[in-house]
Amino acid sequence: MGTFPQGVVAFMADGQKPAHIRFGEKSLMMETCLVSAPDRSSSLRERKKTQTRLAIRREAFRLFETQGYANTTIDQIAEAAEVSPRTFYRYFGVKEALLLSDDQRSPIVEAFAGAPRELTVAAAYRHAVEEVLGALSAVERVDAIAGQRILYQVPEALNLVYTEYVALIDSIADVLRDRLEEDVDDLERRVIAGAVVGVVIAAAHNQPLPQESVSRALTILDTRMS
Amino acid sequence: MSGHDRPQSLRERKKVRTRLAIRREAFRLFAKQGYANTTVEQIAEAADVSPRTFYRYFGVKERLLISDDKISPIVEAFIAAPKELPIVPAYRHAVGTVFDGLTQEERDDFVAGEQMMYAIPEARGLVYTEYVRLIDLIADALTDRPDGPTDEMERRVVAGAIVGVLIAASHNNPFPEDVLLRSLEILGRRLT
Repeated sequence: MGTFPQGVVAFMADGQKPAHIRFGEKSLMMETCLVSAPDRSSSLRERKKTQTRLAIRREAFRLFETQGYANTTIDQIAEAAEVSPRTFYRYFGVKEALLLSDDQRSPIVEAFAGAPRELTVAAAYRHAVEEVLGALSAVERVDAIAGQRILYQVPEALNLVYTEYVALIDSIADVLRDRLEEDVDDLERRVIAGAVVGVVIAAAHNQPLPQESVSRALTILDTRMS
Repeated sequence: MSGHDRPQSLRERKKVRTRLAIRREAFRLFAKQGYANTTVEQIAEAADVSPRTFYRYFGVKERLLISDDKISPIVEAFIAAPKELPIVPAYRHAVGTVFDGLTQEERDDFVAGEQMMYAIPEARGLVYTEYVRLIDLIADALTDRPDGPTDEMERRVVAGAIVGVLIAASHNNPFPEDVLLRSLEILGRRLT
């Protein structure tokens, strides 16, 4: 899905369109995957950016918890995180974007595309989940857990969760173009991608950091799927 | 999708018709003036019922977006599917049975509901919640299938795979019957 579904754009449209269109195209990590990208950045500047991002999310989650998501304004979040509202907008675009923490094209999908060729689909996805979640720093882990908790509490977030899972099906189906034989057609790729994402949903729902249950579930899927 | 339980009495048929009428008018208003701007009072008035009747049928406005019993008849038909069918073919059988049982009016309602669902962002969270509930229901129903896994986690995995395929086939697809059945056939070949 190259474009963000129209409805969500309308929902988020408060003059921030470009931000969340960009945000949609990045195919954010879901659930297990809805965590910050591991900090592979080398420069000090990059590390500082990551820290600012995490600080904004941390303060936002704290405010959401004490006063509710809807009642929390961007100005309040910016003030608590000691940044200007402008900085907030540069990092997140819209308030909803706080709920999904990716800041690059989903690392899990990338790791999936780069997983050893001999692995089956389910095993390769499991490999990707473990690689990305295993590389999280302690701070990122705390951030991810806080984010997951908020996700299931804020109705506005569940809208995004659904949208992002659908986008994840598209991304996985896309990667399968390279991972599977040529005679596997579009529908079949979507079916396989759907099965993987469905299993991720089943294992990740309401789990703060579902790495372990997702890994186990994908192992089971692997033994059952050909 | 309420085709599975064919309404018997006149009273039952009337209830189904009232429900469909309320949804029809609501969808018309949502399309014209937006979901958020449409009040329950306006919907009730357009459908010629009292707000009280509206609340009896739907409880909250959001419930309008989930077509009633979309889920439970399929799960029931899944449990009741011929015992010799493996899991995924049994689910496919259930989907086919329930779709076949829809009246034209129910079919129109279903299509309209699906279209609304994708047009209204507020509905997406509900859709997600319903899919998660469906995973639970299918995992549960698997205890009644002869080849259902004994391990709970395995049941959730199989249920998750089925529901994931439903999501993949249904998203932005107002009447996904055909794609759905084809997708489940593919899954049936690949998943044991």
